[in-house]
Formats: sequence, structure tokens, C-alpha cells
Amino acid sequence: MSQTNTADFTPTIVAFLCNWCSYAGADLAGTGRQQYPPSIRVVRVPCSGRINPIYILKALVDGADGVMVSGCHPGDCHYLAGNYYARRRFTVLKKLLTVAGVNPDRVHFTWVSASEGARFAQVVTDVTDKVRALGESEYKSRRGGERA
Amino acid sequence: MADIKKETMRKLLAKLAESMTLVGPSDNGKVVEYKKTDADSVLMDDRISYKSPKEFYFPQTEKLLTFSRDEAVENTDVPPTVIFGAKPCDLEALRVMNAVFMEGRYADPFFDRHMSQNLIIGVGCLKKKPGCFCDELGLDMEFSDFCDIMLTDTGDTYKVEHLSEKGEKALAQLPETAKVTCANKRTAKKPDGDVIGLSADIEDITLFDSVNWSDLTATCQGCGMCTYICPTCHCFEFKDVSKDGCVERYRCWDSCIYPKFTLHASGHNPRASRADRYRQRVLHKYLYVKKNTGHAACTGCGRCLRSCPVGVNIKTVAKAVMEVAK
Amino acid sequence: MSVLETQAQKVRDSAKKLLADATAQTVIGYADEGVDGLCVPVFITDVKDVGRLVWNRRSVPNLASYLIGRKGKTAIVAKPCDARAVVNLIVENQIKRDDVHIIGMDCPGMTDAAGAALHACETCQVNTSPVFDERIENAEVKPVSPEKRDAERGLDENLARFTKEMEKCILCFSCRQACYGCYCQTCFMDRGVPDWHPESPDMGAKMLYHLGRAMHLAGRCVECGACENACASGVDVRYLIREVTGFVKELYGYDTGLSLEDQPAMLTYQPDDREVGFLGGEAHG
Repeated sequence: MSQTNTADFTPTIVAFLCNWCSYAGADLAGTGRQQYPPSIRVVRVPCSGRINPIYILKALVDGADGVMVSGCHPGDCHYLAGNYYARRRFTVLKKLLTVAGVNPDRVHFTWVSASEGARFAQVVTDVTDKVRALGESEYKSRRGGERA
Repeated sequence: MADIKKETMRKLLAKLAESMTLVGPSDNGKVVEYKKTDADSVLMDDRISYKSPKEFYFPQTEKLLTFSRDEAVENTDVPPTVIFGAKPCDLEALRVMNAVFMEGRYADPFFDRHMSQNLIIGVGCLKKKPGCFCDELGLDMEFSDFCDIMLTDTGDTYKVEHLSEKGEKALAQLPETAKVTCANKRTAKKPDGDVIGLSADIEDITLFDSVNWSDLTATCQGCGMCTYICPTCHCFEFKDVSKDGCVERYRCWDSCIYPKFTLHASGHNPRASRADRYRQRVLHKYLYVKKNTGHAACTGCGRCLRSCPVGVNIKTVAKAVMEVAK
Repeated sequence: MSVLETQAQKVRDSAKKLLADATAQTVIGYADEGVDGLCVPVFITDVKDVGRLVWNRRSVPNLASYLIGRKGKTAIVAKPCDARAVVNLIVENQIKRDDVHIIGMDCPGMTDAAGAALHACETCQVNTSPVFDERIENAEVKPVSPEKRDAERGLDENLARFTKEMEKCILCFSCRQACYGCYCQTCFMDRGVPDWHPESPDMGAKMLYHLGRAMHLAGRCVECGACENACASGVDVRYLIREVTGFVKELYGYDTGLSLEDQPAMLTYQPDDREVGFLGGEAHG
């Protein structure tokens, strides 16, 4: 991991954003000229409840340095309850990842509404800082290697 | 034939391991398995590994070639490997694999590379393990000549015989005092009594429609583990993976027990049920490979019996199949 | 006659009665016909075959998954963990309550060929069937001791353990096939598009499979240990799922397969669920 802890390292972070709140929040951050690091690759999903935990695992295994998931605030889901189910799922997933030795700072869950452009920029900045501190993903090397 | 101490054998293995990868039975804490190991920790007892050593001449995943629009480069990188402690059932299975891959119209260059690079040291069994039925297939549990060096465990020492030039050369690296001088080659014992088997002359396979496949295999959960740990199962598929602007082609194990094995692109599956798939497994082992190569593709190692979580017994099924073929 | 043999006799009597009066068309139970004394699943449809049924400490396989897709009423000789699996299959609408007759066995715990208690049985929390149509008692079965959870470990230790277990795995998927809960028509690992299953059985593939499966089993595992018993490679397949199960119990107070009425933890929610591990939320303990 040659790039670890250098300030120039821009991690690759896959961001799963729900269509109704967080994606609109990201839009607002853009139209509001909010600055945040160019580290995220956005995947727009209909709802945070649509995110199969396997997507997050696949992103990590296929070389993302970090994963960020954001949906509507609890109570504000466009589909009424999608994010409540998602909340339980992500809570368990994070525990599972920790047990399997994945650094919890690589995977982040949060809520950003359509009006929180500034908060979106702040969240991305925070997440990027945390992932950058960990350096390049150690799971990248888990692909294509010889059978362990 | 000559006797050498197990300690001396370890020294020889250590010497061979300097230029080759050493693979042998080792204890992973729960079960015995063949894996890369070192001369000091390789097991020299009579325990049998839960899976066969086939992955070292027919890897679970093997890169065959890398190709782009303009060129294709074959992967010829095969690490020379010493396989220590293969049991006679594994060696007889290797004979079958060799017939499948090397005889007939096409010879498989990848398998060939493994075979020519590998040094195979067999060790005879001292006693039958639960589930073993090599005797019922007419094989000798103590001896097989399909290897480079054959060992017979006599406690602290091994009786050694070399069966190939490669084996002789390897034994020449023994310290002067333990040199093996003569090659008084044994032959495998002939079986007594009936053996499980089908005649390769059977033409009409609708004969086997009368076997009650669904009852015989009702408990099978379809995990296909039996095919992964089997020493003779050799079905494979190809997988192309794009990487850095090129495509890498891999050969990976497949299993007739998996529904995807025969799934057509249309969605139709000619072997739709587990019973159909198990029928394929049994008839392939006892009939089809025999038709093609002259050997039945089962050596009675008993691994599938021992490891099946629900105790599906291929022997029972094979016997039911023999009944209708009589 | 030993207590177990008495239980076995009761199983046979009960099976005879169920088949004779056509309460059930099939009885799924155990027959002593495996290698090393392993009892294998057997489907009894005829009263004259009832004698094949046995019950002893090698009645290891979980029979619940055989119920899926069966026609007609089926009676099942169920260990408490199997009964929990049956209950969860009913809760998840895979089988109908009316189609199954649960013969709930009080269970002394199962052993391996050498007579040592199986891993899952050592930590068993439920040794009498929570739901049954008839119960076959065993006075020697004692109440269980309180659950012992694995101690919390540091991240490095977690990673070392994960790596150590995964090195043994050959990705044959027999744990999946043995699991009552893995009844997906097509597992995500078997799908071609997208291609979840990488070309090589490396750590990445194993991580996807084992973590993905553990997530699917969150709040659904009945701790029968079928996966680890099925594993020929000796992988402690269940340890990730065990942690998740404990976590779900702690956070949402849900135990799988104990009642036909409870909503499974991951299929429901509370508006005020704790946000453990979220940005700005509580940290994981």
C-alpha cells in the first residue's frame, strides 16, 4: 500500500443515493456550488430499501476504497417505509463487516434530504477524510489472486 | 524394493521442495486435506484426505490463455509439484483422468504440462476406512503403479519402489546410505469376488429408465460437493474475464449436480430434476467413461460417502443400476 | 430400554398411526443407513417400512428443507432446531401449517462419529420443540445453560480469523444446499448477470459468498449447524451468522422460529430503531 496516508491520495468511494432525497441533495450541492472532494461515484437507486447488501460487498470486493449509502431521513421515505427496512439491514451489515475484519470506517450510512445540499457536501468530505486515512483498499488484492 | 526411514523420506522431500512445490496431506485442525506444505509437517500416517489431490493436476481454476484482438498467449506457467501421499485410489483415478485428457482424439496440453512436471509419490493404505470400497471395484488398496514412486508404510519405515524414470531420478537424491538399488516391481493384486461395474457394451441406455432414480436420490440436497472432492470427476466450464483490455480465459470445475450445468440459454433444462442429474453422475462414472476409455470413473475411495451431509450412497445406487443391467 | 430407544419406539408407533389413518402421506425421519453411524434422511410412505425409522445421537441432518415443494401432508421427525426451521418456513410462506405434522423430539444433542458433541449442539439454546403437533419427551434433556457469546475481538483479530476460516473453503456451496433457509430458486452466486461469482475461488469470491449469505440469514438462522456439519473442509461456516444472529437478538429482541406469530426481524421495523454504526450514530460495541 504505497499510497497510504498521503494527502494526494483520492480514494474511490461508491455512493448509493436514493432517488428522492439524497440524489436530489447531491444535485442541490451542485447547483449551490458546494465544494466537496471528487472521490465519489454515484449509483442512483430508487430507494435505500432497494440496496441489496450484496451491492455493497461487491463494491468493496471489486476495488472500491469505501462505500457510502444515503437515503431519506427516517419518516420521510418516498415509499413510506423503505428506509426503515434499510436501516435494520445496514445496521446488521455493518456489524457483520466488522466481524469479518472489514474496517468499519470504509462503509458509511447516513440520511441526507433533498434540501440538505450543504450537508451532502459535508458528509462526502467527512467520509472521504475517513477513507483516505485508511489508504487504499486492502480488499482489492483479494481479487484475481492465487487461491489463498 | 528397499526400506527407508520416514525421517529420511522427510529429508528427501525437503530436498525436492527446494526446486518444486511440495503438496501433501496435512491436518487443517478439523480434517486432513492435500495442500501446499513443508517436509516437516506433511502427515505420514494412514489417514485419508477428505478431498482428492486432483486440484494439483486439474486445478479448480486454471488460466488457459490471455487474448486480445491481435494475439493470444497460452499460459504455460505450471509450477513443478511433488504430490506426496496420494492413495492408490487417487492414483487409479489419475489413470482415468489421464485416459480422459490424454488418450483419444485430443490431448489436453494443460493437463499434459501438469503430468510431465509433477512427481507423484503414492502411499499404500494400511486398512480400509469407513466408506471405502476400492476392493469392490477390483482395486488393490496397497498398490497402484500409476505413479513415480510407491511407498508402503511399515511403521517407522517405508518400503520404496520407483515406477518411472522420474521417480528413479528423485530417489537418486537420497543420501548415499539410503540409496534404493533395485526395482523389484510389484503388480496390483487381482480382485477376488464380484466387482461393481457395468459392461461397456451396453448400447441402449433407456434400459436405465426402469431404475427408480427419484426414490434412490430423494434425499440428495444437490450440493455437488461429491463432485468437487471426487478424484475422477473432471467436468469443467470456461469463463472469459476481461482484464486490462484483454480477455483471460479460465477453465473452472463444474458439476453435473448443479442445475446450471445443462441449463440452455432458452431457459430449458434437459436435466431438470436432481434425480436426472444424479443419474448422469452415476452413469457417467460407471458407463460412459468406461465406453470412452475402458476404465470406470470410480475408484471406490469412499469420499462422497463419508462427506455427504445426508449420506447419499453411490454404491447403493450403482448396485441398483447393475441390477437392471443384468 | 434407553431413553433414546424409547423415543425411537414412540416415533415408529406414531409414524405407523399417522400413515395408517392417513393423517400424513409421508413421514420424513432418520434411518441408520449412513457411513460411520450417520443417520440419513428417509421418506416413509408405507406402514411396512416404519421399522427403518430410528432416533439416536447421530440423527444429524436437518430435515426441514425437504418439506418445501412437497405435495400432500407430511409428518416430520423434528429436532428442536428442525422444528424452528419448519416454523420459519411457515412464517415465510414456503409451506402451509396444515400440510405439516411436526413430531417434536426432545433433543439430547447430536454427536460426530467419534461421539463428541457437535459444535452447534454445544451451544444449543432450544432443546425442546417450540411448536409441535406431538411431542416425544426425553426426561434426560436438561434446561440449557445461558448462551455464551464469543468475546469481542479487535479488528485485526477479526480479519485473521476470517482469513483463517476462508482459506479452507473450496466454494462448493454445500453449506448453502444443506441450509433450510437457502431456498432461493437461483442463488445470487449462481446468477450470470451480473456475474457475482468471480472466476477464481479467491478471498474476494469467498467474502462475497459468505458475507452475502450471512446477510440473507440475518434473523433467519435457527442455529441447527447443518452448514458446518455439511462442510467437508472443516470451515466454521456458521461463525459469522452466529454473530449476526446474536446481534439481531440483542437489538431487535427476535429469536427465529419460536412462534408462528412473530414478525421476522428483517421484515419489520420500529420507527425508533437504534442506528448503530451510522454516521453520527452509536458506535458498534
